[in-house]
Amino acid sequence: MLGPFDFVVWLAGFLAEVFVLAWATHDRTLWRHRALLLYVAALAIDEILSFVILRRYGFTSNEYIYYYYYSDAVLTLLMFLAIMGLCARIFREQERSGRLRALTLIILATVALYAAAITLVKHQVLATHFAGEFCGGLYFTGMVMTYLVWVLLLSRRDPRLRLVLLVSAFGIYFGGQSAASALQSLFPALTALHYLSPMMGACLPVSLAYTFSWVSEEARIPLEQLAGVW
Amino acid sequence: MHELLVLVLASILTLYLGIRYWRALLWSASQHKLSDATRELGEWIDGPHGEQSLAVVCALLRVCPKLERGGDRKLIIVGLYDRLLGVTEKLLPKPGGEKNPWIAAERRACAYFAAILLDQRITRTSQWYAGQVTDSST
Repeated sequence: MLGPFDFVVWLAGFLAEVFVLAWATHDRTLWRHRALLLYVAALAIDEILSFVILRRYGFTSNEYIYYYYYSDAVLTLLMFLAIMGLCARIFREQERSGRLRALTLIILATVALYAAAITLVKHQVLATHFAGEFCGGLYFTGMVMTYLVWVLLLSRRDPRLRLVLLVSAFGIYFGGQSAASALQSLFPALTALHYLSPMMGACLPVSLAYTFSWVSEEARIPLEQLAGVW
Repeated sequence: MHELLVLVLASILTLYLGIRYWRALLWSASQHKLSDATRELGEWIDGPHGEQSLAVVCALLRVCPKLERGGDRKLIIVGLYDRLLGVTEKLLPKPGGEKNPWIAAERRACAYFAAILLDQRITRTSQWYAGQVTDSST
């Protein structure tokens, strides 16, 4: 059964998604991030559908469990498209884009194969287990992908603030989801861990809403402002 | 074993990107230019002891009339971050009593952030008073 905390987290995420979409209709410069907007639109639709299924069938129903895992897998794949879109924006301004693109594609393919291999080796016949494992693998792949995009960003001498915030937000999301997924596998009895994943899911649209509404496309952050800790 | 490896890697990368995200966020928030009302305060923050100026800016914020409801949540988070930096500085003292330049820069950014909030509050209050004066004259 969902409590007030779950509802607040769900509402915060949903409102942030609607805000991003509304802001995109107001600020046409955001249409450059088409893949990202498509992902946010899919997220908003998913929030509505999952709410309807939850109300109709209940939290512990097979319908909801199947819907949750498979929609999560589809959304994560859409998120990859969004990251590839960010990547394309960085490549567009790199001088040696050909070599870097080839190198990144090789690394991405390796990581994707690794995720699929781990899933195939470990999954049982149950479809939900497969979806769960597949999501965990996708999160890990996404984390590595985002980190590569981050390295590309740092290779520029004047990273754009909007891209810095977007890429790091995605990295935190994927890293956090991977960690939460691993923790759930290691400690399945720990119920507090079930709050981690929805919270991470709500933080990403909130972060996107902040970035799009407060940070201008032209804002750039000096590299030394980002470095300095490690 | 596989899960443990994923957990360690994911935790390190999340922490790393989390710190970078926070720095970018703080930097973006402190990039707004101050108006004439608080420009001197900004210059003072940039001065030699500017890293300790958050408390003073917060005191000024408290005495400035506030029109909006609710607390300054952003300021609470920044205040906590400033305190964390202060504690870190005390725990890791440099030989010869030198200041850690990174911590000093971060604490300055915190103070600057509070100065922006003060600036916004002064602007809003001035606009409100200006509106009141116009209303009473008409």
